[in-house]
Amino acid sequence: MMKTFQPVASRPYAWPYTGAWTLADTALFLVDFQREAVAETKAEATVAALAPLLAAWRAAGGFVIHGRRGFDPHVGLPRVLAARNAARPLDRILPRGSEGWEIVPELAPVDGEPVIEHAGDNAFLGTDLNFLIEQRKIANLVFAGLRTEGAVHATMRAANDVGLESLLLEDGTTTDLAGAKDTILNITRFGSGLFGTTTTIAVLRDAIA
Amino acid sequence: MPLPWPLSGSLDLSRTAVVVIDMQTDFCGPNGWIDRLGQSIANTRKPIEPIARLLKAARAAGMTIIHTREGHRPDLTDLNPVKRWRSRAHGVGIGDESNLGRALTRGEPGHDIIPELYPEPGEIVVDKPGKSSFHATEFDNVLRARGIEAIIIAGVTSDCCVQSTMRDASDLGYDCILVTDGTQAVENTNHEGMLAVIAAHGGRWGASSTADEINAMIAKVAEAA
Repeated sequence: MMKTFQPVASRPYAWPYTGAWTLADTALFLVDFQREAVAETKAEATVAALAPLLAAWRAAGGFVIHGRRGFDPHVGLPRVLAARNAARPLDRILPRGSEGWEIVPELAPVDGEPVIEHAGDNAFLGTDLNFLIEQRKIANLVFAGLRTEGAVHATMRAANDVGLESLLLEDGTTTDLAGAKDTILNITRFGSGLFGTTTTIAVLRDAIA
Repeated sequence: MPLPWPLSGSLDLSRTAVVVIDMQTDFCGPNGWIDRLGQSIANTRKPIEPIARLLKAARAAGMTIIHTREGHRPDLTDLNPVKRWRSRAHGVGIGDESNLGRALTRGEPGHDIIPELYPEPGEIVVDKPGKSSFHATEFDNVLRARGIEAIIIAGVTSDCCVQSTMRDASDLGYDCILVTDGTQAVENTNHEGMLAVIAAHGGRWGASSTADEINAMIAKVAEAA
């Protein structure tokens, strides 16, 4: 029998709204902890803080999904996306398999954990993410990842539209764009949780201990 | 350095659409949902005049114009439970009685587009149940059927539906430009923060410009035609 957990202290309300959750109806989604993104955003501390949570989550039997942004070099990106991507020195969408594209070893996927290969920011677009979530009857998503204003936020927005209940780990996400993290956290929590709620890694770890 | 718009270098009005997001009474009209919640509609009414000028220019040039409306089927089968719960926690639930009929429910007075920006015959209206105009709608089909490659995005709110739509449009390969004075949010800090995010990296999800600057581009191309 899967253990039922109490709601997790988070803002603006205790997550999930249903009042209870299990490791069967919830997934931990690690978005784009890829070498180049970790280096550019100086996310080493974020990665280090997440590693024990990931270990505890796995030990408890929790489901983990990984995002990995990149494009198929044989296909390329849509013309406009390619032009905007080529024009910026940072936050580049990399060709799959290239240097810097792989997930850092501390948070690398293990057998049984799906990796969502997404070319844009919204990991639901053009991928099987929603299909996998429906197949497993996932209702709640815990988000950590890079960058806060990029793939993390875009994917949380899409998760919200399909009716998933999202929790963002404040110290499990970061960015190199000044001010953007605060903006995104505020928008996420605006009203009664426009796109979900936010908490810290420690609070979630305690919840599953 | 902001990147140019359109990226192709030349504006093709037959392949460019004006998309006006959710300028509905429930978001920016007196007695609508936002007003009923006790939040100010002062900010969400600011884009009305710039959008009206943009629509005038786009109509004169014969461009594709698409209006979206956020809202749900009267039986609420397209309202996911968390969205309903949060809206009730917020004060007035979607589908519940508000000042102008049921909040954000299709067919109700509050759900319709404000009179100042009401669609003209021949303009397309897309009803959407989510924040992104691409979610569970025919929006992408409409754009492709019209051969649209670039979209001019205005409406409310900048931090919510406008943002979700622009991000998905960018991921799907559309060349977007955000009308900076044609969009707003309920809370100004969220609005300003979002404009800064959009402008970063030379325009990470697209360009940004004012209604008058975009109108001048449209007029220049229309006159040359």
